[in-house]
Amino acid sequence: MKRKITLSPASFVPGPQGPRALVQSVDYCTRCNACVQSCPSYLLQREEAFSPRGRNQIVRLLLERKIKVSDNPDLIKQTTAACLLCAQCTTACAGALPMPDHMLALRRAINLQTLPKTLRLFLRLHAVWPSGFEMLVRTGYVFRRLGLLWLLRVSGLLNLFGFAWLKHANAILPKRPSTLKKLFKKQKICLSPQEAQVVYLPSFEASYITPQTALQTWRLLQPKKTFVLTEQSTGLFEYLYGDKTLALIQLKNLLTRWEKLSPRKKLPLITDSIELYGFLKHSPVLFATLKGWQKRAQALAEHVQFVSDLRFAKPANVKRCALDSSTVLYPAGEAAVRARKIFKTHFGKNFVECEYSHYAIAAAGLAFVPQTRAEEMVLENVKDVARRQLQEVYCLSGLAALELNAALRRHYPQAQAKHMVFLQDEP
Amino acid sequence: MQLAPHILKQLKHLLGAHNVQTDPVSLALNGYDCSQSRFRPDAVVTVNNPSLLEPLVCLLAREKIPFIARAAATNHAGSCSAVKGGVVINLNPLCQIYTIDTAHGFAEAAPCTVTGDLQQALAPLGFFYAPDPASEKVSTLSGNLAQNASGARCLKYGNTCDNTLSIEFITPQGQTFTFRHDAPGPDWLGLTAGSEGTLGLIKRMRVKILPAPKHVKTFLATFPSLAASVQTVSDLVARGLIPRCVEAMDQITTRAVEEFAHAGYPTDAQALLIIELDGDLKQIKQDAQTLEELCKARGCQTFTAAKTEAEREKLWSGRRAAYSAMAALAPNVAVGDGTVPRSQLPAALAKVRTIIDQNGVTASLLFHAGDGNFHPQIVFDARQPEQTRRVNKTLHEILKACVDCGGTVSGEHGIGVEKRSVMAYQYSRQTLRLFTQIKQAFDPFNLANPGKIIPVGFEDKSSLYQETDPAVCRLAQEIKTRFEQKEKTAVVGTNSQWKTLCAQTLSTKDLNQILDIDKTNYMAVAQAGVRVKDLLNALAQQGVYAQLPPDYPGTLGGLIASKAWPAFTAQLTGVQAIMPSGDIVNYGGKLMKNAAGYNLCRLFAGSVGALGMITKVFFKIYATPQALPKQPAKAQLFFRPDPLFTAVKRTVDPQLLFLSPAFEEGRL
Repeated sequence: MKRKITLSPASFVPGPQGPRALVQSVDYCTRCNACVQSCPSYLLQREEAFSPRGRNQIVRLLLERKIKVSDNPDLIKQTTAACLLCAQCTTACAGALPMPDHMLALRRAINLQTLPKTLRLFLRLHAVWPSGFEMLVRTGYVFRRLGLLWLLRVSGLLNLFGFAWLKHANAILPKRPSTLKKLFKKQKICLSPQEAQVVYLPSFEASYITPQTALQTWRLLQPKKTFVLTEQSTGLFEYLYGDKTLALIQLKNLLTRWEKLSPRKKLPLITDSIELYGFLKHSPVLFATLKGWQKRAQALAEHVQFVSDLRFAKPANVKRCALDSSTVLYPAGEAAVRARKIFKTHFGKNFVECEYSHYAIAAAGLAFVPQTRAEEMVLENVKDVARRQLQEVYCLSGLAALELNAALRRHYPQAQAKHMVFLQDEP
Repeated sequence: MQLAPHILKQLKHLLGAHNVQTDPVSLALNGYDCSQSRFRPDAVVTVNNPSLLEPLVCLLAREKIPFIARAAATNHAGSCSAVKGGVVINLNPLCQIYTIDTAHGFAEAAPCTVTGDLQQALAPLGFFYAPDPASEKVSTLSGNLAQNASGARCLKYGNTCDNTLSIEFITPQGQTFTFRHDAPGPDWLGLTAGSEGTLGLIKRMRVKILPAPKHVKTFLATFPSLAASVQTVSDLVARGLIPRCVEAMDQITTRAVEEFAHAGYPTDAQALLIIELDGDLKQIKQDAQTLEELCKARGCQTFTAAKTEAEREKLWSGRRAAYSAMAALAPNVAVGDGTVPRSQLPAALAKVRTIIDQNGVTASLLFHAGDGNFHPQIVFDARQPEQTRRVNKTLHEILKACVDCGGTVSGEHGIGVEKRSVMAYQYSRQTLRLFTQIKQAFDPFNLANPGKIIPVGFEDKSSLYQETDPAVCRLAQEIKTRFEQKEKTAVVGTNSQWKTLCAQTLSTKDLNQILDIDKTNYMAVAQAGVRVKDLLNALAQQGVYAQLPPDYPGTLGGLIASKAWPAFTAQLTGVQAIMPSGDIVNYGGKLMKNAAGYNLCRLFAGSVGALGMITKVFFKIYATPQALPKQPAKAQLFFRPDPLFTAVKRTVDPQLLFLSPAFEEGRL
């Protein structure tokens, strides 16, 4: 790697008492190694370089100029790519260090792109032209139903044009994927911002893959008048996939749109994505140098809620279940605690608490890691589900539910993974 | 220093090219632990198969390359940093649990099995592994044994060494031995526990597992003074009530923790105790009543019991958050680890607070009140050299204060490189010489984790020990004269079972005093020539008991040296002995935990007088009669010494002046 590293020591990351400069944050690691057993990628490799402590030390030593990227570019690339950004290490860390943010800073510095170019372009399209993106997705689903995708896969043409990622996408997709707009139209749900009492921000997967999640959330929000923010890019994916500037632009757009909905009284913003919830909660950190925007982001962070804040009725069938609270970047924190309470109340002894070793793996983060490694990690989850003889795994993230469900379908069909909103029985 | 290409080639051939790394990034990442020390090794190798360990060590020994075994690297003393370069052996992939045998109460595992993983595997079977270091969720079984890190439950269940049944051990020359506590000869397992990898590598471990208690109850008691809280613990032990664990905090720490974790601790009390009892419900109820009475008798301000599991969890959350509370304050946390006799705890803590205030540092003070082990946690910023210097000075002063209170510089964190210098303050020149000799016998080329434990240039820095007891002085002088005249000697007790052919014997019959029966610390000190029967009578008169055989006709020294009652070895907390050169060495004291230096109690136990003459021992006593092993006491005198015993004998006594049955009248 000939490129010179530009790891900015002054870039801000979240700290326990507010934003902190990167150089300061990495120094706060006491090297106690409390994080190590929480890292799914370390548990596969068992080498210091692949542990959260090791990764943090890489950033620190690079900033201190004690090592150079050129000393072992492959190792640095591998270990940075192997980080799922799942923030399990942050939860385990005594000082709650934002190690995923350190990794993001390093990724940007070494210009690490683990996502295929075509997938990046696909996601960029979503950011700049959402309705065009939806059209493309719906066309894709029609192609899939006609068997064209299967034909392309079998003929090997997918690999030829850089669409190999579609294979995995196809594997995790449900049988009949649809889009939120289409489903809401079918259900005759009118989306009007007038007199809205609450704003619902659906996740990417609820918008374009499993609209049932959005519909279920919408039902949970009734009888409140709910406005659904469709075709709204949030900046989460751009932030994760590298272009921070674009991420900030999208976040600003979201902020402006939310503020415009009710200029006088700020409306609560509910989301079904734990990743998005964490991202919006911590959005003020991203505007650490822009005070005006930081204040506005602060207001949004105060009003953002996760579906675990809603009321759930006891389900008719109580099965042996567990809760997967995996997310990216920021530990689920209070949202996960509230979710756990709900499960404990409704499931009692059938709710399996996962202490110490757990199977939380951030599905959004899995896209970063090489496919073979990602498969191994998900397989560890499946083993854990089988070991505990679970029948259902509820996820706080729709993406995690999709990933885990696909693996369960293949290896342990006795159990299935669902989003938390499906705890409430569907009418 | 770079490794020669032919060595690298051999390493890659043995372990696979991807398991041998020499790039600066890998070296930098394997050059640190939780301490402040950072040293880059020359190479890092990862071992994926335990059977590769012997050939690897043989290769490194042949090429005279130092090596450092690295497990989770969570120690606070710099025990696994490559001070003298060499090869770091990453053992982390060796993390398999081989067997769990609940019928016979043991589990076998690879060295780097995470202690928490073992606990998790045992829990569904209704069993548990007693040692519980604070880092158990990430630290490994072999790492815990190498530092003898035991955690809070050590008061009731013993330390990690006592809970290890046997180990497969690879010496720095690449020979594999199986060590057991009850094997004839010195207790090598006990000696290697706490040796920080300086004597070799652990390849496989068999540990003791116990049925999990059916019920556990946690109590919180607050006291108007530290002394009252510590005295309460002594009262508990005196009543024969040994809690599962007793954790304590002073007021400053309680306030810091409460602010951070909101665990519901009262912040107006000077001291706080978290006491946990386990067993069956009826027993716990009885014990809880006694506990409350005792606490109130010592003026306890509040006494609350956790009624639900959630309340219990909340009580512990504060204690667990103590490190986090500190870690959030500054980039670095220096964790000290002094241990003093329990009775000295209030005095030692007062001294420590004074030192902390005088040096102007911010620190919390936690302690395991049951075993006198305390952990000052000092926060600082290592980027500021002046602050770092001040913190190091504070830590050194604290450790010296511990030694002044009759304690040790390490209870469970080890010495590593960071506490080497204070070792010269704790131990005399003669004792440090013996430590060096042990290291030399095991590792003549100083390859296994070099530069640890033993202070550099201790001959100048340490002081010579001067004995005051006339009988011991006389014996030491006699041995010294014989050493100078190269006369052979046989050490015998008053009722020796060994009829030696040696003309000159030295008897311990003059060393027949019981020096102390301490009912605060529940420790006794007796000279080696005291008959076991007399000792038991004297203890009974004081209303205390020891784990000694009631019908043993010989002396205490004989019982220990011949390992006639192997269970008693675990009861020893200190020893004094005269070496064949006439030097008097001292180790331990009235301490429940000691991880400073090699455990000499375990060296002399079973040494059948070949390595030195035991003159004084410290051992645990109890308020209630103890369950004794069913086997009768039987001296283990005539056995073929293993190569390690021979090597230690040759180093400690090169002229073979001390005769012993194990060495066939001095012929090696």
